[in-house]
Amino acid sequence: MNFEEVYTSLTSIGCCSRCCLRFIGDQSSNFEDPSHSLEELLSVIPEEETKNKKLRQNTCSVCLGLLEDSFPDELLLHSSWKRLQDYETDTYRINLNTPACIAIRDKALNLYLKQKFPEFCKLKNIDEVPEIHHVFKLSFKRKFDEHCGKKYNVHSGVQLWITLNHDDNDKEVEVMRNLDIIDHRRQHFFKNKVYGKNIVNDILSKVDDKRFSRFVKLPPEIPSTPLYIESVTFETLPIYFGGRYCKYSRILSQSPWKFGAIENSKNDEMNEELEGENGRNITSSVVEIIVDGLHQVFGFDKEKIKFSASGREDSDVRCLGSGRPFFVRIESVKKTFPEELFRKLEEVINVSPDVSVFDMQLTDKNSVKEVKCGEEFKKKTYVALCLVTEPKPVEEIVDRINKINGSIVTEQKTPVRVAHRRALMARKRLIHYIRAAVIPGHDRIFQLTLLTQAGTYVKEFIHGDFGRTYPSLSDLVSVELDILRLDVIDIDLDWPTHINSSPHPLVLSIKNEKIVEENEKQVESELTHSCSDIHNLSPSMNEGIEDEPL
Amino acid sequence: MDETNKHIPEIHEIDNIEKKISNFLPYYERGFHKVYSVEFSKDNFYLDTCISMYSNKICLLFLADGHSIIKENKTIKSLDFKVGKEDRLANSVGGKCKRSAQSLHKNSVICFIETTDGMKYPFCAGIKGKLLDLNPVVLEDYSKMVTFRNTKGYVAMVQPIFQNKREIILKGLLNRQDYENVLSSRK
Repeated sequence: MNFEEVYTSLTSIGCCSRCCLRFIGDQSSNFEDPSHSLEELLSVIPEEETKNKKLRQNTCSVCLGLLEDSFPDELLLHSSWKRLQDYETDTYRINLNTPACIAIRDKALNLYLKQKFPEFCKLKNIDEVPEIHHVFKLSFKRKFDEHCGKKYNVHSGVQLWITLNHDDNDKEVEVMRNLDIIDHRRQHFFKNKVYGKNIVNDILSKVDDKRFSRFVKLPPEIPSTPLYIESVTFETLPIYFGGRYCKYSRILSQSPWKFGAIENSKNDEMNEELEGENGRNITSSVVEIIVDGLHQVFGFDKEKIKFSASGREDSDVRCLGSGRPFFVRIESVKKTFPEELFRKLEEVINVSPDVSVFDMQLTDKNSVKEVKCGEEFKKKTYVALCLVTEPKPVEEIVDRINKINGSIVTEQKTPVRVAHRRALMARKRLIHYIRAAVIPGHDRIFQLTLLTQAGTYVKEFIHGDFGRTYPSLSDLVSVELDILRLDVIDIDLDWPTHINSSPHPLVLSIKNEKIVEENEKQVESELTHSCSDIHNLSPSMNEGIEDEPL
Repeated sequence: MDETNKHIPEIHEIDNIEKKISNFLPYYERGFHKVYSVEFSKDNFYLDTCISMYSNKICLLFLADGHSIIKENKTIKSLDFKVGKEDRLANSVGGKCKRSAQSLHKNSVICFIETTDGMKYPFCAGIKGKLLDLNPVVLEDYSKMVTFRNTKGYVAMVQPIFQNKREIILKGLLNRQDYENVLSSRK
């Protein structure tokens, strides 16, 4: 098979050298210097070269001039390039928004070659021709790099959007109406509108070749004008910070109360009592404290920060230990972040007596997904302070609880507390581990440590919630219990990477206990894996554990 | 945590703990506000309903202390949840919005209580809203609606019309003080 024939044919219909190379060469061809690459590929440079040059005075009939050498020069004249310097970044990325007619022309040429040179197409696998967008980047990125002094990188957060258009676009797209046979609703909707790029691509992917060649001219005509640049805009991808937070206050909620959404009735008695205890009001929230810190240290706009955490705790529940994983999403950031700033951020936020953050770090969109999965699937460890509401010796109750071996299955009907915002149904939940301990000097309260499946309503599990949770701990020990205080001490999610958080001593002792039990049984369970992780991370923490009281 | 020098008290380190424990309301009173409906009582036939509203406006309906069954120390023989065309037991509630829940008016009957002496007392809702759920504990053992009437023996869980303010929902219902006055005037 000789490529020369194909090459001659391509040039004669008005293809630029890069478009020729797209079809004759492959992904690995050097697109920066197309004529040189072509020379290498073709054994004999066709004699008509000079004649074709004349022809190429016209705009390329496929890429409409996008891949010609004159295009980047025109683009670089655009004033927006100066704005790239405002961004404190070493990288950038270009996104092309090409008019739909280029896709049609590309398809037309593809089909033309298939009909004219079937053998060549089989050999080259014509459907895998490098895309125009891709070739554009391959060809010119070095030129752009030199111009702006930054490096092209696909993963860069700074994106340059180049929107291109062509005078005859509307006219050429009009043809698609005839090809769009399936979707009548769409035809009706677009009666007086021009088909967009996505719809055209959709039609092109579905249409059969015969029908296409009946309506579209093969090969594509040489256009009278090149495409023009409609706009160049910058867009930054949002960035993500991950971390963990602890909450030490019992009158602080995670997210701000929406004014007016909740009447002042929310847990009146409870709050009054607790406010008296600390002398502070519920005016702030965990989110506000963290966002304020971000604003102070990094100077981000507060409106552009979005907070998400792996679940939430009630406002009267503390969150201790290594804390609750969360992330913030920040829009349109122009700066880069040295590592020290994260430690500074922690310092600034940790001034607040109610909230601490740890493990602050830069993260990305994909790993952020873990946070939400932790909300639903990860085990949580709690410490609860329980109240015995019957005149029964607390030691006996503690004893009874500690005799419970293995996990407890409990069925929780949606608690009255949240019935207004959740569907009513019975949910089965597992309590993996439960231990009680007497608190010396107190005869009506005891401390409870629980390891539960995600989504367990712990408060309801203790008191039974009018019998809607069955069996509750009260049912299991046949004594009426109530819950005085609750703390979350661990969320079993190994994200983000631990930097300076330290697990709650109780968590480590539970895990130790579990390991011992499991070693005895010689059964491997998933829990040991998560345990060993924490042990590896903080070997120094293990030394003191045995002395810690449970 | 040590670096931040924050003092994190242990869970049981609470100031005035004894006082807090003695003031600590049981869960069935925490955040609940009780009101009473006496509209359906006639002569010596008292059909009082106690409505316990939680801070999220969800209401639990109890037998009130002044109800004839309690006043006259009667024993419940059976509960009949077939009211008119509707069977309260067949109530099904779908999703967050509580679709297809049976709707209740102030004078809707939740169930008829039949006592061992052959009397039949209607148990009225006293509040407008959607019937969410009946108490599984009471369904198992009818006597619990009497013995646990001040704790966890609610009969039905009702969601009042949500958009309404508390004052509108609770309009015409008596608070504890007024209800006690009514009770004493009955003697």
